[in-house]
Amino acid sequence: MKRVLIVGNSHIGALKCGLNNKRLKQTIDRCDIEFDFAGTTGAIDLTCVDGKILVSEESPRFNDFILTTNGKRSLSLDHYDHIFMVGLGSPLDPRRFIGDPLQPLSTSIIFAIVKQTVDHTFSPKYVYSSILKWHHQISYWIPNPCEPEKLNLQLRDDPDNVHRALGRIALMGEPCFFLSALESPNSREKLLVASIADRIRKATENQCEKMGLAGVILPPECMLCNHFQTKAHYSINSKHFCNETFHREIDPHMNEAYGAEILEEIMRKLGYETASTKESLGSRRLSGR
Amino acid sequence: MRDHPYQDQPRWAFWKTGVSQEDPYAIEGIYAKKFDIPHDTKIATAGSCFAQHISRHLIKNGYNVLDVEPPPPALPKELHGQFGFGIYSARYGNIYTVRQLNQLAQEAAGCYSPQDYIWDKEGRYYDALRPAIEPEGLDSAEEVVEHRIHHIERVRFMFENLDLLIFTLGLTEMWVNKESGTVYPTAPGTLIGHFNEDLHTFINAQYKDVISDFNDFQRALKRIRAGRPFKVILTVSPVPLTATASGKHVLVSTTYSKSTLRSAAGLLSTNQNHIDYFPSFEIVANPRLCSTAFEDNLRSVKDEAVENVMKHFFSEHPPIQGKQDRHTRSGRLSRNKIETQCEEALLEAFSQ
Repeated sequence: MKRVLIVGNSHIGALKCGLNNKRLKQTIDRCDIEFDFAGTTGAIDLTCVDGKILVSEESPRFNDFILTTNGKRSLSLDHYDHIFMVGLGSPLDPRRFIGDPLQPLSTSIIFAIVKQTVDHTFSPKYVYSSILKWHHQISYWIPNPCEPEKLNLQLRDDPDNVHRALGRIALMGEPCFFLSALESPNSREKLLVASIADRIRKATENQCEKMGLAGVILPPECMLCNHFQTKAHYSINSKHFCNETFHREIDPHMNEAYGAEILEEIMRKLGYETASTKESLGSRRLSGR
Repeated sequence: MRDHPYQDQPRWAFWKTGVSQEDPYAIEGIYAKKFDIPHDTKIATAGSCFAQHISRHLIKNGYNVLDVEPPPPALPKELHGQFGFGIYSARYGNIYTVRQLNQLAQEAAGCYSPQDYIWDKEGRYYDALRPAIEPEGLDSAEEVVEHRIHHIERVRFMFENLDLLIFTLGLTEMWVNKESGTVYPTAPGTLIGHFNEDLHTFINAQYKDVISDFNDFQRALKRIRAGRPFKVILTVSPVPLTATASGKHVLVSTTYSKSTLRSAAGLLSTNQNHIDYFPSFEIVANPRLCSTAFEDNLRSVKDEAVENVMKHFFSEHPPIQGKQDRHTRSGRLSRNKIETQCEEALLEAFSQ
């Protein structure tokens, strides 16, 4: 049996929901693999002490932790064969790269930005760096999901939400500023965005290797649209920690379908043959690029 | 009735009272502006290394300096300068010669295509017309072309939209492609590229060349702007040459270069109402300072000397009230010790 711990921020909720996917469940049972989860909002107050993942009972996020661990008060890293760390940022966030106007970026600049994202996630102030120092496991990084393709904005009266949505995601089907290039019929701009997206992926893999990570789980391109957005199919009825629909309408969290896809990616990364791998091996890998 | 023409001259017209006995940090009458710079004036900056200081101080004091090629939002601020962001109004790097400026404007106007501008080094590819803005080069020659197309589009936008260009004249010496006349900011083979005597040649511009190049530049600018007027402030960099290829002593070559540029700036600003001259060269080279305006290498201008230069500038063009220190998004002001990006200074490595 292989034991896998997925630890990190609120996005582990969707991954945990992925276990409910019937097809995936069969694969997991057949492969004899066990998943555990541990997380808090923003991975705050989550600590790694002597190889144990825990949260102080005084922390307001202790309940998050208990919900994700199914009641366990600490998790020993040594119990697991592989650790997957979810969060905090995403190197695939186009706002970090694509300014206004859209400009071509060199590989050096893309690497510098990706390095900053990875360094931020694995800085000493977050639990991820402590986990990395615990050398007994093979560790991977699962960045935050790419922003959802589009969402209905029902909480229009809340200025904070409106502001947040306008800056981040396509609203009611209207493209936001960084996607205007992709809406444009100008193929040069489309090629430019594709080139940037491709090199961000390579830079992320390269930077994770330098950090001592065994790998990074970036969303397969079949889950994305416009290179940088998660298809709506993966964000409708998004889930938070406690397997409940997330309480806000404007939300970057994902759903069971997303979780199942990422869990399959994890299994593929660990060398398992999954059902969808058998079905679409080749097309999944080759069609995206 | 005056006894002689010097009788009513102000005190700053005399060396003794204007220089020897004058406070070099508050030189009365050294600069009288020709025109105002209203707070909403869109300013573009360009020139040799010293122009970086002018650009930075204008931003610091609230002036509306254009930045048509801003950095990607997440690029760490400390790397902006290294990649040529936030130094000037566009990522053209240092423009040392007037011919280089003219060449850029002609290209932006669609009247000229540079030749042999993609140079390589150790498998990486560089835009030889701005070799320092990508220190590690680009992945392919095609990528250099793609980046240049974008750059020239942005430069054209800058030329279309500026109200005032502040240009610092730096050098007369330049290296050009014999066949196409393409001017390079650095000699082939020094920073990047390969020197080929059959292909590359040295030119030391004369006074008439500088005048002619600048007027050609203005014609290109007018064409881009469909005749809309613009203003110019010229300065001459006080930074001496790092090295000369003229065959003469570097001190002689520096004096030739600076005096030629100073004369040209003088003629242009005297004869054309929309051009002003700001005496940064004179303020730094003032003998009253006994060369203390320079660092130990007697070449780099000390930060306090730059402050002194800009203090004289702002005495005529006051800081924009309420806007000082706001435009710091490019990290241009975040460092205590300001380091300029200067390819020409790298020639020092070749000294025996």
